[in-house]
Amino acid sequence: MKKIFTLLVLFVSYTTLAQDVPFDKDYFKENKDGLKEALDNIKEGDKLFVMGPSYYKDAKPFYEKAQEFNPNNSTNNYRLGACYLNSVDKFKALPYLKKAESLNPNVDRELQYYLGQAYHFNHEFDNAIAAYSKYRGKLQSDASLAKDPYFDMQGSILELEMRINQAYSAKELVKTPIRVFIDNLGDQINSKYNDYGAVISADESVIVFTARRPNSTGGKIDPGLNENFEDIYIAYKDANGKWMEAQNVGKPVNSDDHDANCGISADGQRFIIYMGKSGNGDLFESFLSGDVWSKPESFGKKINTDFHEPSACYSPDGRTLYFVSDKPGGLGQHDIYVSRMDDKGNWGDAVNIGPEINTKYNEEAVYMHPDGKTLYFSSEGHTSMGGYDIFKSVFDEKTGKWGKPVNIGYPVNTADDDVFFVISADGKRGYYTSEMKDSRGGRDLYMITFLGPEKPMVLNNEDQLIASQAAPVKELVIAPEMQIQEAQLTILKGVISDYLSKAVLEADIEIVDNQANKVIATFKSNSKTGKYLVSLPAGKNYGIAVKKDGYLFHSENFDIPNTAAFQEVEKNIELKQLQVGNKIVLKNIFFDLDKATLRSESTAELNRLIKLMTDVPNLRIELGGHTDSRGSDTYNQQLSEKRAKAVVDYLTAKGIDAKRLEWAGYGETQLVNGCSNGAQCSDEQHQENRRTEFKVLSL
Amino acid sequence: MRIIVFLVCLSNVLLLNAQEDTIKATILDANAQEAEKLYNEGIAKFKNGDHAGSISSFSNAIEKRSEFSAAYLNRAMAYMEMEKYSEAISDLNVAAGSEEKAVALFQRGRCYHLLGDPMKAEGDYTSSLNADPKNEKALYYRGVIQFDAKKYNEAVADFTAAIELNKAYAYAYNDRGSAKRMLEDYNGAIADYQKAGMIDNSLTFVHNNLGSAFRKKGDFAKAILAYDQAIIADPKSALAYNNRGSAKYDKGDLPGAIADFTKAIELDAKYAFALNNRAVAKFKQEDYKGCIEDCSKAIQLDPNYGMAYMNRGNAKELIRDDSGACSDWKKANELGVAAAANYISGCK
Repeated sequence: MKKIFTLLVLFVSYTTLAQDVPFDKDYFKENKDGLKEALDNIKEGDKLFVMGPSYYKDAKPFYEKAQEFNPNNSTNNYRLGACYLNSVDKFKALPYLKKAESLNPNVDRELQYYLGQAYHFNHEFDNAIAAYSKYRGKLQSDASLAKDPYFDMQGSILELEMRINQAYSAKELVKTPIRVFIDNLGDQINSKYNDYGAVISADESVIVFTARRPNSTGGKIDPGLNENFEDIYIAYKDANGKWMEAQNVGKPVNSDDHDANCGISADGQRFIIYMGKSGNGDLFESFLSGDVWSKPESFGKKINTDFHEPSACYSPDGRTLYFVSDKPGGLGQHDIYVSRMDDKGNWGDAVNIGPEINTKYNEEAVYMHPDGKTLYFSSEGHTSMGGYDIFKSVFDEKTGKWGKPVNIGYPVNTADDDVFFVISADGKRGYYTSEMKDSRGGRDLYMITFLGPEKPMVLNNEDQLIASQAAPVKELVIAPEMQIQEAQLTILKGVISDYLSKAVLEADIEIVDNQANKVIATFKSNSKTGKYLVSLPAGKNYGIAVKKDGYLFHSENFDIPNTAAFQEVEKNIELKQLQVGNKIVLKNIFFDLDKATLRSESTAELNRLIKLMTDVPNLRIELGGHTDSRGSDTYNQQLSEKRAKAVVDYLTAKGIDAKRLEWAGYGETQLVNGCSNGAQCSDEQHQENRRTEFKVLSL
Repeated sequence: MRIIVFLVCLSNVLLLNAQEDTIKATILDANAQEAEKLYNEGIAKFKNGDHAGSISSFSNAIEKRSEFSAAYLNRAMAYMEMEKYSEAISDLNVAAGSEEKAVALFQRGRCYHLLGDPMKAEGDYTSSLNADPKNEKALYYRGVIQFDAKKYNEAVADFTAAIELNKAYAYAYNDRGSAKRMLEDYNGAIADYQKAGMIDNSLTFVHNNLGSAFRKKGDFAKAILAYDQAIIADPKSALAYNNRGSAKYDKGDLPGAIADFTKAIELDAKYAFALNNRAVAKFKQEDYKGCIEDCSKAIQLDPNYGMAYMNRGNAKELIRDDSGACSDWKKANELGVAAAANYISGCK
């Protein structure tokens, strides 16, 4: 098993490490002509490659042809990668450099440096940091380099630290891209050569920039860069807002040497030009007279030195000049300086703008916004994400200090150089120089449209937070049905007639709810037939009184319990005339058991009696009390007397003259049936005997 | 209620008709039993959904027996079924003076609530609770009024009291969860929604609310699970799909979000929110034209949909239709979208 594993590892190693194939006849025996052509191309490429990075772009086509013949040579891959890295197509360098590393990690001491850049441009920042670190380690451990008087170890290490820091910054900046449109200014402005350093008129209708084109004034080639000398170009917008083709502004602004556009005064009457012929490059000023620019004049010794002063700008009032110089005494390499014009129009001593702005690396391309306090510049330091990045710093008039420079953000700034930024007066658009995938060649001019902070897109959702609104419940609860128990009726009917003549009578019939002491109904019997009928629902004690003028009223009592079944009771009633000696039973007078206390149910009957006594003022009556035979005779006698007297007392209390009332207790002496002592009788039969009667004594 | 009726009139009349030579007898409150028959008839009609018929029967019962408080109460219920709340209130005013006081006051509170008079409704719920402190529904609905008035702590107190009276009161748990959510007590809200869901798993809105509480907490995975349950409870819930789509959007699952928004639109072709949200997801995918199309459809459905205007403006900006973007932002601002005001400042 262990052997199999070892073999497997060996096999994998063999297949992943491709063979570095030299351009050698032993490898291409079948194609000697092809090999010769490839070697010729390599030879031509090497001639250019050895002259330095400025010539790499020219060497690239030769190496590409050789690469077509043999793609597995570490050196050719390395050099081709290096050429791409120094061309417009720098993003394509990475695969060649990676292949070179895989074929031969030691193909060149610079491999990791270029790999670091290639990773950096392709936003593989961790890989870039690793490659830069690896390269730094190689340099520091190379004893021969340490002794090499021509190798700037300190400068190289400083640069690597800068690149590593930039890669770290880039990692963060790409996470929060700013919202911009970046548009190449197009073929009318940009060429396949380097075009850069634009300034723009206030209304953005005129653009002035620098380019290295073959038609440059003097027609010279810069041997250090293998490019044409710089000239200044100008372009205007047509009526449709489109840029017209840029034109060389010609002499006297452009000279036979380098002439680069730098800045223009707010009033458009002064123009700053970089001219390479003076010193190591100085700043000049041209004045507009009518439509003719004057011959450029040097800013003088306060500004220009024997060192490099490549760019400058005016303050909005034109009395302050911000410029860049690499003269000794700065904080790093190129620094930004400031000089103010005195009352006589002379520029004062240049002062380093200070450590808030300048770093130990290069600062370039300074531009003051028309607001007079916002400075835009490019820097390799601060939080640059690669090469030069554009920063802005705002001057705090209260503290007299520049604010901490802010990287204006990705994707305006990239891993490559981003320089020469100017911004429109309204701040909505910027113009700058960069080298992107859509470059017409080398550096191009781009317009940035700032879209401002992200405009959040808004989702809309809804919830049904309240249950009773999501799924309403009516909560209606109706009172329950009623259990209607059909009343059991007692139909009471009969004929009312005269006791003596038997003539039918039309009499008043009054139905009283004795318990409620309430008259439920009143009606009359039929005048022709004397008939009456009343339905009495069960569950009450009814008092029925039949009355007719000239007659004693007749009362009946019906106690109908709830449980009583339907029944029909025929009750013919004979009314006795109001005559002396006539008597009636007051059937709706009730006493408490074995007492002489009138119960409330008696009220209606008693009131009828009072009414009779009132209606017939001369009427004298006797109230007679009667008991049944149960109990002792003596007791019954006493009870009947008390009860009769109780009725009399009630009437007198109600205002009936006592002289009109007599009372008598008859005990069990006047039974109406045979239920005497010892007789077996029902309760109903005994009830008949318990009564109160009244008798007419006189009228 | 067992009522024994003593007085009858109907049988009496029949008897009288049979014996024409007999004097008619009149019993003074003989209508009472018929009133109760009519009352029962009203209940039967109510149960059959014949609310107009039931109102007629209850009215006849009341005509026969003017103090018939149960009939007033039930007629009020029928009026409420027919959304005739003013008429219901008149009847409940009568019933509130009877032994039905607690119920009548609660129902009158419901009427005022449904009529959009929360102040009177709250007063009636409180009076009902004074008459019957164990009326958990009065507590619940008073809690709803507190919630609507943004008095979330008071709402929580009422819902809690309702829950103490009825431990299985899913609505009260849900609404207490919502009140807690408004108080940004998301854990408390989640616990209450989960309890409501345990009591009644069929309540779609409970699952939705639970999902949204998780979403508020930033727990999009659990939000999606909760919305899944809402969809199981109601597979035709466009709202649940729309919410789940939003949670998927939050989670970065743009294809999933678009699929859910699309499903919501299929379920409810007039669901402007879902169209707007799909537009937002398309925007995120840099499909600006698709975004604009969906926003336009949403606006077509709801011409006052300010957010859709704003979103469409944002998409137009990125296809460099500056005038179109400005026009949309201005419209959004007119429709009350405050954020759009900031964007207009850059317009010509």
